Amino acid sequence: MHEFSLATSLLDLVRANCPDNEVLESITIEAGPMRGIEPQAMQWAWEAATNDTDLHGVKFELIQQPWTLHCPNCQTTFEADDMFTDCDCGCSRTSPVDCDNLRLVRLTVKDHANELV
Amino acid sequence: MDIPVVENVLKLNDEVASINRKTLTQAGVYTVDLIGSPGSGKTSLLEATFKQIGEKARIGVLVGDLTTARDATRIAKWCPDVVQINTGKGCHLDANQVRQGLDRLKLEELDILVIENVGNLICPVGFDLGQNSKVGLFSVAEGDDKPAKHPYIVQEAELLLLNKMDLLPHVTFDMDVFKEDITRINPTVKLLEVCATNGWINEWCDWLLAKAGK
Ligand SMILES: Nc1nc2c(ncn2[C@@H]2O[C@H](COP(=O)(O)OP(=O)(O)O)[C@@H](O)[C@H]2O)c(=O)[nH]1
Ligand SMILES: [Mg+2]
Ligand SMILES: [Zn+2]
Repeated sequence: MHEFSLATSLLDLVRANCPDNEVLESITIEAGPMRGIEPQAMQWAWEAATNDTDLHGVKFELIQQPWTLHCPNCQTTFEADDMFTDCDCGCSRTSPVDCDNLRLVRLTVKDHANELV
Repeated sequence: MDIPVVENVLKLNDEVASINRKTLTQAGVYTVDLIGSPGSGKTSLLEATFKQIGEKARIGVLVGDLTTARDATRIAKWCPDVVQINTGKGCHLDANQVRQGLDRLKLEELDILVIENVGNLICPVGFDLGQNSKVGLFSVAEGDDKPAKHPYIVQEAELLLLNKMDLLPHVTFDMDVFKEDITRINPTVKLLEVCATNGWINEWCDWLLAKAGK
């Protein structure tokens, strides 16, 4: 269950990146297909990790990236749903590249628009 | 309001891993993170390695285990420098646990350190521990589809080992499929066939000694 340890690492990172005096509403992470992250398990892990903390109730969004494959024959790089996808040029020796991202990409905080100045 | 950030989720782990790497490099220790499924033969491989090259190089071992000390006890018969790390519910070792383990070893006296990670082909792969290389261990008994199902270890490993070669005649295992899938995921990774229980591990030992400059 690596989702739980990812969630606890995430907690520290979110705290370090969220400006003081802002009310955090949601966070967004981006994960490459190599990471084998199970979206539902990650959701539960985030809820469990934030429960009983100041981040309780902060929403979690996961953006799952597609496979990015490189073709050694024609040197193109393309996206695909399956890791073993042949290139349009007919080459079947395509390899995954940059498929192991795991990044916090966005914090969404409460708007100040309605507050009195 | 959105605040864009770009931070690696495992940043803190990776920072501790860099400290480990520095400590190990300064002590002149070549470190391998050994990753494989439960029962693929990680502990057996270590036992056989001590039998074969225990005199040529001083090898320390960190063993990650969920709750027991059984692997550490097996290895302690061969080596005084073994440290057990219980991960509890954790399915992998992290850099901080390794850091604590390193404090309990006499690194200056070691040539090689092997970290037997918790039996699992997915979770440990993404956690840098400060090793020099990751070695992935498969066995023929697990089936030929494991590289395709666990591409991350195939991509990250510098060396892959296929263990239990003695069982090949008894199991359904298509060597061509196994090798083709590996080559497609990682065209440059090295693959060695071994059998830990009958000591057919010469190529692995040579690889390890060469890496350690022995
Ligand atoms: N036939 C055969 N059995 C092996 C071999 N290597 C390990 N085993 C057996 O596989 C089982 C699991 O081995 P172990 O080293 O504990 O695996 P670990 O969980 O990866 O550390 C044990 O019963 C070993 O005796 C091998 O090369 N051939
Ligand atoms: Mg073991
Ligand atoms: Zn092509």
